[in-house]
Amino acid sequence: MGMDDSAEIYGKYREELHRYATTLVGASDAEDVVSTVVLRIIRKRGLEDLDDPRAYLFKSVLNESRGYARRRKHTPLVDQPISDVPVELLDVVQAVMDLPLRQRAAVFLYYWESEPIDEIARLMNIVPGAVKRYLHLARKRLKGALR
Amino acid sequence: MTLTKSEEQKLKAALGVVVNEAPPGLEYTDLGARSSTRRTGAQVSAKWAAAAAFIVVALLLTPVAFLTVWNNEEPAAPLVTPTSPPPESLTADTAVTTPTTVDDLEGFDLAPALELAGSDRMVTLQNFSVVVSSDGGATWEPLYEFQHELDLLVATPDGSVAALRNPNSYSDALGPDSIVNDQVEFHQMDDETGEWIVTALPRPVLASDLDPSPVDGGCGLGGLQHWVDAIAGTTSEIYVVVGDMIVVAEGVCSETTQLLWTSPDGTNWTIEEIDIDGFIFELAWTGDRYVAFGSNKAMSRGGVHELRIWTSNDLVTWDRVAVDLSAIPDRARVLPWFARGADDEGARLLVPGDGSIAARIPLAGSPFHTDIAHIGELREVLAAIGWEERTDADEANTLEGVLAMLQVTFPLDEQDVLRLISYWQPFQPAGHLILRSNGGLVWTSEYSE
Repeated sequence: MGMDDSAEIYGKYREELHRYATTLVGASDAEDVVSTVVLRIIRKRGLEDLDDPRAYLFKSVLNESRGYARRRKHTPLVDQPISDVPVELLDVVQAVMDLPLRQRAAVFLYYWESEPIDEIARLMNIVPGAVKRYLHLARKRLKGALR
Repeated sequence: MTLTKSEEQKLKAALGVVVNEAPPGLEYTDLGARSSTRRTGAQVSAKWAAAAAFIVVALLLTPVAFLTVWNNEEPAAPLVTPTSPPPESLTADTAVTTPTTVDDLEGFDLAPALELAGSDRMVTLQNFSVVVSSDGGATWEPLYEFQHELDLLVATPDGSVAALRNPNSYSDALGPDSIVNDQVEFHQMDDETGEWIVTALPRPVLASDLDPSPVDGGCGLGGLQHWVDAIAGTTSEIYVVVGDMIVVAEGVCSETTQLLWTSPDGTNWTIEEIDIDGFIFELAWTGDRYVAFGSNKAMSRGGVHELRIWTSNDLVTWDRVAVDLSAIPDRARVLPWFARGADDEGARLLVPGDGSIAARIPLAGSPFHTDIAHIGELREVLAAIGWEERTDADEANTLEGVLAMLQVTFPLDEQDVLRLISYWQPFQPAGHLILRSNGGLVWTSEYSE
């Protein structure tokens, strides 16, 4: 147990954590969010000491993202020039990034990562009913852009 | 509230745009340095180009003929019987309305509820649940809750209810060698015990000479995916399900095939390919025959669709029925999302049980029309819908380049207009087409704002 084990766990979840963080705070801050979370954990103990490192990392990334999201409230989360987004997706991308943070997290985990509700509840540290509620509210908000 | 298949695909494509931006992340040994390394603009542009290329391919799938042979791969097997959690109160926005005759279709404003024959109850899908109302839709209680979203709901003429779940994720099919071929789940309520039994529908099996994995047909789309579009229940035991499949194989970029699952008892299912001149999106049983609503192209195709209606007595022969579409105003068109009957965006089929059938089909208008005389005028139309021409890019990204790719020339004809619509898809709601029939063979149509 030690650095090698932590490195292996980090490597295992690195890509999906960065996708998650990018959806929550944008690409330019995603690396900072993940790095901050992982560093904070390994400075106290190794990742291998966590009972469920994946759930812990996802919960921590969501919590860490809340501060970044507040700071970037008026900054576009998609870093690319808007003209680069396929025109038929402009409204949808914007609508997704305008969702409240937890709704956006639920949408990402459900529609992109295809996680079941119970697993999303575990990763977001909320009850399954709350996940369903977030998804319901998100779909309602997205409907206009998806038409 | 649910998303239609096309809406879900659009959402996933948008999420793909976002996550495609994700940085690879620092190596573990570099975490302490908290490097501020960022990707270069060139790297970013390449990734965006790849994402855009995929989306265009996904929206404009090119048909390529190929042969498949369908077999019953495995018998349907009962799966788990999920337990329902205690009912919880539902929010006010769960209220839905349903007409009781085809003449009431104007009032069909929200997601359609299905009446349960022989009772004063009706059911609909809501938030991963089948919910039931005994007071005309004023209040709803969960009848069945599941961990995942249920896609289609059906109530049979003898009062049974069943639902379908497509477990195959569109996003899982994005890789060039993906196989997304999990079995569709049929959830049926046992009328006597009230418990729900889950049965797996057989998955399609390809001919042995068609190997979808690992290959890249050249379009960046996955190797195989299948899903369900429509369900009809003739009785509490006889169910019919229609779906689609896309295959990418060696030298075959993509093809959409219609699938038909039938069950004589609600438990055992067979699967075969449908021989029909189009694609079925909605299916109903009128008491004498099956009536299918659909289009000249698969639901996954964007742009304008040509509405088609068929009838069948045996599910083998499908006779196309003439439909007078002259009630559709100029510049209004039928779009792919007319297809979904189980949500508040698509066509709503009404089969009250007296042999009559009706549909309300949403229409959309577009700013493109044949009166646009020259490219300058088209440029103004595009500016009005927010399209910014990339004058600094290579010629293919200029308006002239796009028009050349689309093979659009002035003066515009109707085909040119359809190509413009398919590419930019700038739609606004433009009322509804209401179709009514007694038995499904002869239809009347009218326009409703």
